[in-house]
Amino acid sequence: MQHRWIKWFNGYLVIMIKGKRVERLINLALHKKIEIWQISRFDEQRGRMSIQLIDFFRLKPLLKETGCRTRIISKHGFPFLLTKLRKRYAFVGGFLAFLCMLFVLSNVIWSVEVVGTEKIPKSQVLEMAKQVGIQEGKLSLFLDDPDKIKARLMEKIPDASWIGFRMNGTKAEIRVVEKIIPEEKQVLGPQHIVAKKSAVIHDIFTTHGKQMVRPNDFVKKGDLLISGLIGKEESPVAVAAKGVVEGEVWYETEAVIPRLKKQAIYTGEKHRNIYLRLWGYELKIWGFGELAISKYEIEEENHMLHWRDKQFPVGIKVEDLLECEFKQIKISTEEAVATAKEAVKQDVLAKMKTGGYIKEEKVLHQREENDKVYIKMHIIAIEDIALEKPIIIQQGD
Amino acid sequence: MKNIWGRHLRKIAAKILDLPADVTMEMPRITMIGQIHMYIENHRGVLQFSDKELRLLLTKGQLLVRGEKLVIRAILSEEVLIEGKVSGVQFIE
Repeated sequence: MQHRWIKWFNGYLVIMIKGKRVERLINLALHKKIEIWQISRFDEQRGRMSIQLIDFFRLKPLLKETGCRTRIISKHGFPFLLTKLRKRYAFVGGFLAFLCMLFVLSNVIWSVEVVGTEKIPKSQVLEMAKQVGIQEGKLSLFLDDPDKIKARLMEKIPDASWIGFRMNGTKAEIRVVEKIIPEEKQVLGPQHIVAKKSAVIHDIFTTHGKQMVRPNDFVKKGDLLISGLIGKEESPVAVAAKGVVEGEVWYETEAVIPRLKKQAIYTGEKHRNIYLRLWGYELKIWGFGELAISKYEIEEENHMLHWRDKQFPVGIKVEDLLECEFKQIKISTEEAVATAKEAVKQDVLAKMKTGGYIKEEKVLHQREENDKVYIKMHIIAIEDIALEKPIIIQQGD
Repeated sequence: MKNIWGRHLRKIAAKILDLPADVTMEMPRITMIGQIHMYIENHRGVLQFSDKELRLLLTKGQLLVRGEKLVIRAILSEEVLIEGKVSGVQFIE
C-alpha cells in the first residue's frame, strides 16, 4: 500500500464498474498486482472503485475477460491538476509572478539604519553608504560581501574607528563606533591673575606665572595675584598665568522673616469639573452641581489624545477644586532665626562661584518687631577669587 | 497423503517453536476495531461482495462478513481492510 500522497502524485481515478462479475475482476486485479481501493457496491450490476492512473490501462484486458464496463466518475491527483492548470495559465502566471515579487521585494533594502553615531552626522554616513550602494530601494541581492562594504565604508568615513554592516531582513544596519578624539587644550594667551573681590588670601597655588601675594595678605578687587610676566625685570616674558587662589571673603547680609505663616490645609472635600477640549476650546461636560465649597485650590490635569509622538488637539481636562482652610501659624523665635540663617547662607552661596564654602558665620544683630524677626549676619566664606586678565603687549616696548 | 503429513508436521513445528497459528497454518488473522473497521489477513480471494455481505475464500473454508454499507477500503492479495458497520462474522466450513 502506497502512501496517500504518492497516489495523489501519480494520479488516480474513481471509476464505476458495470457488470455481474465484479468479484472476479477484483481477484484478477489482485493477481496482476493492480492496486484498487475504496471498493463499494451499489447493487448487483454496479460497483465503484479507485484505481491508479497507470493501472487503469492495465485493467482493460481484465474487463474484457469479465465482461465488465467502466465509466470514469472523477479524476484526482497531480497529472489532472497539470492539465487543469494548462487551461488556467493566467492563474499559474499570477502565482509565479507572486513568487517572483515576493522574492524580489524581500530582497530590497527597505530601510537603512545608522546606530552609534554621536559626532558624525547620520546624513553623512547615509551619503557614504549610498556611494557604496546601500540605499533604500536597492536590491540587497547584488550587494557585495559585508566585509568588503565595511572596509569601503571605513575608508570613506575616517572619523569612525570601526564600522559594522549587516542586513537584518530588509533593513540595512550600519553600526558606527566613533574615534574618541582627545579634546584640544585651549591655548591661552598671556594673562595675569587678579582678584575678583576684596579678600584675605586663604590659600594660593600657582601653576604658571609669578606669585605676587602670600596667604593672609589682604587684597583689594583688581589686585595682581599671579603675574604673567616672568624672567628679568628689564626683559620680561609674557606667559599665561594660572593658578588657584582661595580668598576669605566677608559678607554682611540682612534678612527679615515673618513669624506669622499662612498655611492651607485640605479638608478632603472636593468638587470635580470635567471639560472637553477641542482645538483650544473648553466645553464643560461634568460638574454642574452646586458648588458647596467656598475656599479652594485648583488642581488641573489634562489628558490629550495622542498616538506615539503625535498630539491631537482633542482631549479632556479634569479640574479638581480641593476645599481648604487657611490657618495662621505663629512660629517660635528660634525657628524664625533658623530659617533666616538658612536663607542668608543660601543667599551667600548663590553669590559665590561653585566650589566655595562657608567658613564661619556670626549673628551680628537680631531683633523682633511686629511679629517679624530681623537678623544681620556676618559670614566668612572661602571662595575662588582668581580672575583672568589678558596682558596687552604694547608694540615697541 | 502428502498434504496430511505436511499439515501434521506444521502442527508439531508450531507447538515446538511456539509460533502463532496464522503463520504456520495459513489461518486468517482478523483484527476488528469496534464495528467500523475490520482487517483480515491470509484470505485467498473475494467470492462475493455487496454492501451487505462480503464472502472471502480462505485456505480452508470461507469467511462471511455481514454488515451495512460495507466498503473495501483497501485490498491486497492476502489482506483486506473493510469499513462500514459489521454486524456478524461467520466461518463456513
